[in-house]
Amino acid sequence: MEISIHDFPEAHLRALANTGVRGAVMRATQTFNQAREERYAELPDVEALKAYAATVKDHTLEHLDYYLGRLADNIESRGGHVHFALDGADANQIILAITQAANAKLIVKSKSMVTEEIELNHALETAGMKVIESDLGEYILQLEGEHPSHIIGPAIHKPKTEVDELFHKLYDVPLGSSADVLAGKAREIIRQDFLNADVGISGVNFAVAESGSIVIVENEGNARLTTSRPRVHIAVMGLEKVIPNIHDLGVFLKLLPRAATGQRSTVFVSLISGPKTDLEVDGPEEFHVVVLDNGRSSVLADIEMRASLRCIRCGACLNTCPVYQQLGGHAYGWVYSGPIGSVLDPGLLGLSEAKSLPFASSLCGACGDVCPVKIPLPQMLVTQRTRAVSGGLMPVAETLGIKAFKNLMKNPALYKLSSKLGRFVKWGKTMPNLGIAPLSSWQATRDFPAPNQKSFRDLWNEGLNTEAAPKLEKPEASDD
Amino acid sequence: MNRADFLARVQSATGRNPKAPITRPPAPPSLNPIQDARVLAQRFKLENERVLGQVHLVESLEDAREGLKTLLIGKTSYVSSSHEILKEFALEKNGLTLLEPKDADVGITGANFAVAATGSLAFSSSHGRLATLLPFHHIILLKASQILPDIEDLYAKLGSLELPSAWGMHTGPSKSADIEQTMALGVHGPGRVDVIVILDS
Repeated sequence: MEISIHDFPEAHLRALANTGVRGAVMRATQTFNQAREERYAELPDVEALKAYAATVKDHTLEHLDYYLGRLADNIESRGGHVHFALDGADANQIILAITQAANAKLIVKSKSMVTEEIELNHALETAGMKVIESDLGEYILQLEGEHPSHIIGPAIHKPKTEVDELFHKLYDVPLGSSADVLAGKAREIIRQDFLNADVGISGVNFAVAESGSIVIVENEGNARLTTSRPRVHIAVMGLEKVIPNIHDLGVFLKLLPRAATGQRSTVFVSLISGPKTDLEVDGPEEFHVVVLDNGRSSVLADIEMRASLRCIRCGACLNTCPVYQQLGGHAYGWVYSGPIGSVLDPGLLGLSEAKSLPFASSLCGACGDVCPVKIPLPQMLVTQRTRAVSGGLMPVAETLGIKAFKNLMKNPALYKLSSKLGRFVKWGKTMPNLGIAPLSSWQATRDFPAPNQKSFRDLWNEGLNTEAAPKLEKPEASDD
Repeated sequence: MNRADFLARVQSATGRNPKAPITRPPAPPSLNPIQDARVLAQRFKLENERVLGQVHLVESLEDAREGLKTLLIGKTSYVSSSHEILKEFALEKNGLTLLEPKDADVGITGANFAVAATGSLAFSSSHGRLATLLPFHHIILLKASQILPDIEDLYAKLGSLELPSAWGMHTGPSKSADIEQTMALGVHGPGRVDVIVILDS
């Protein structure tokens, strides 16, 4: 997906003006939020479970090269192939080589944010292959030429009326048909792609090091079909997806569905450890796993940001964020949006590109509260802000304005003088916008109360007393 | 990038001492005590039907055969998996045509395990995958003794077994809410799932 985070100052205004999308996003996120809280409440000690999950993830990240080595050895022992990709270009080259060796014409994909990140579809199509997104939401977006706006529900921004029109235009489905009818048509059409595809490409939710397995969770069954019917299966993963053992899934698969969509379990879970064995009647003959860095190792090295790699891509922080709820995902300008995007994107792409995002927050802290792996998102947002300021990335006017404000507040005589001057003019109830940073930014969308004619100090010096205040004895003057 | 360079890069990022021993955090929360198979079967039925499956609790194998016959009324073709439980059901005598998974009306399979707390079924690829995925209607024959209490019990179990190329955990019919949060069944996996649970082991 093209990177346009730097566009955020304009993009977010466009998003706010789009009331159709705002409504759809608000409805979807509210539904997710309610369901998540209900499912979390069913767990005997959800905080302990989250803390344990965080511990396991931290341990794995601390020893990540070891666990990646174990993952690769175990996959290869069962006939699978593991490839390591430094960046998106590297990954696309590897995947192209596999598909070309397989003489692939048609590729079916199940939902994968990491393949959006590296723009895999574009690379495959440029090389002359046809790529079909099989997840219904992604399929609809693909037909419309749009990008996903939410890491779990890629098309939550799309009102049904638009889907109606699309299916009517392409497949002659009558307008106003129920979701069932539209879905039935999609089943019929995409079914042919599952049956005829040469290669299936999937993402990975978890990669289990000690067994050499990958795990994919979903509700439609398109990932099960993508990874079972085509002759070749390629799974693409960020290097941070590793967990040590299969029994750890008992914790992670307890948390992920509840955090993401408020389900006790997703409808389908695939635990894939290799190509089909000689005795099995179906399944892929080739199994490949592509492990991608693309900036993750520098986030790993960054101790203050390392915990963001715990992320299991549940989307809870997006759903609960009051800013995301108003904007939807597209305004954030890249694959990972919401609070996790605001923390991760600066790490993967640099603060010059992504600096707007940590500031697009009221720091309400809701994201940190809901995270199933206890990523300290609010603190990380502040850290990114600090780095943006000390990195000289803020507008000059703001930097100078804050400096002036700081000097004023540190100097009692200056403060007293400015206080007097401020009261010299009769402002009325609110201050007019005099274009003085940083106050002027505040005043662009909020009122700032005007100072009273007399300051508190003035009133105090004039003998301010409240009737209800208890009489205090004046302390005796001491000799020392 | 080659493996050695990639892992060296990652190791450097972790800042760890490669000679230090690696002790992972202690095991996850303890497993649920074994419960009565009938109790687990009742819970399984509750949870599976909550996610729009259908569960038929029957006492005996004979009742299960009757149940299956009823479910197959109106169907013309089937496909099955190679699970041992199906030997008891003489599927070739049910009057349906045996077709490939992509053409069959109904897939009739066993399962390896079930999970009561979520209403899930676990299928090993060693019995065949596509019979559980392609037909619109999926019928599963299960013994109550195969039902485990919760998912941590399932994954502890799977972690102790020889691994097939794929385990598939299915929890009710396929669902999508991608069209403005309205639920649609059967895109792309089975849209109708019936489980016959035999209580008497």
